Amino acid sequence: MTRAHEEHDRTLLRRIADGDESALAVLYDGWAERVHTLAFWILKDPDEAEDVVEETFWQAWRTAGRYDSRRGAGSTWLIMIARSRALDRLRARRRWADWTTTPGNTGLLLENTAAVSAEIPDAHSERTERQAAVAAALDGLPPEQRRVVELAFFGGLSHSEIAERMAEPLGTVKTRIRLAMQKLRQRLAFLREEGP
Amino acid sequence: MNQGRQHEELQGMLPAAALEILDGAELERLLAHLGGCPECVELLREYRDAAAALALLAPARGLDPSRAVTLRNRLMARVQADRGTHATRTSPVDRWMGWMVAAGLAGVLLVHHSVHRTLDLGWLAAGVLTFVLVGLGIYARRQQRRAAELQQREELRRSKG
Repeated sequence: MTRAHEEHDRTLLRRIADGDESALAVLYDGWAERVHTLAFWILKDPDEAEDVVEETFWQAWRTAGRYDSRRGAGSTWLIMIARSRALDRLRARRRWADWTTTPGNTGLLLENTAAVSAEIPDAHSERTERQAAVAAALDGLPPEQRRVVELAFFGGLSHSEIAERMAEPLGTVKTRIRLAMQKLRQRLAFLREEGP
Repeated sequence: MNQGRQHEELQGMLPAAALEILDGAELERLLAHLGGCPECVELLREYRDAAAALALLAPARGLDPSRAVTLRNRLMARVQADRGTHATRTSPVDRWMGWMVAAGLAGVLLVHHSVHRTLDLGWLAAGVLTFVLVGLGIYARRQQRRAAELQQREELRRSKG
């Protein structure tokens, strides 16, 4: 996400806060697919993922006035809304335990990360470049740190739930999450500093 | 605990806060701290951006173009319905017009009867007119609500179709 894109999203959110429907349409066109991808990955259900897309942009429409650019990029705000809505549904349907105990769900992302990393030389689009950068940053983490981050972000599991799932002491899980996120923040810093 | 150590401890919670997995008590403590610590606010922003970037790793799942258009139309219809309801609810004209008309009429009546009518007849006329105005106001408001409900239902019906 370049600064120009960040500024573009910020402007859109300001216009949405002022009640500009066309700005919402532009935001939707730019982000619907990514929101859908995230929702589908969390829920594994196409219909529910589509509902999450609608809920996410509806929430953006209703609450754009509360967006504070000091707390993160507009894309971050939108993605975190989508994640919350998807996790709410996951919890509401009592599939939380199923998700975390299904073997494929917690392993595929790491495989996918490796696949994305392998594509780095051919990366042309900005999205692919960003994907590759995030994949490389995640690849640089020890496997146990990647796993806790994945369970926290995509599964919405708390420290104690992760500790229980991984049969590790709570303090160990907290430390792993802290270290993993510190490294990711440092390794992805260049994304924030890219010029327009 | 001194301030420096407390700051350090709370700063250590920022990664979990960015992932939105802090429990209620921890979150409250951190929020109280963030109110007076610009450094932690900035760090939290960076952690949140890093966390959101993880979404890019979800295997791409294309949204069917026709479904994307349907969803977009449904969203925009919902927005328009909301805008209609919102306008009905908050329009200053809607909110104040009734009061302004009633106040104007009451003023005219009072001036008129104080000049031309005896006190008893004037108050009687004012009372009857007030009664009629209140009745009309209630009727108009009910009709307005009914119209807004029907409009909203129609929008929803169209968006689902």
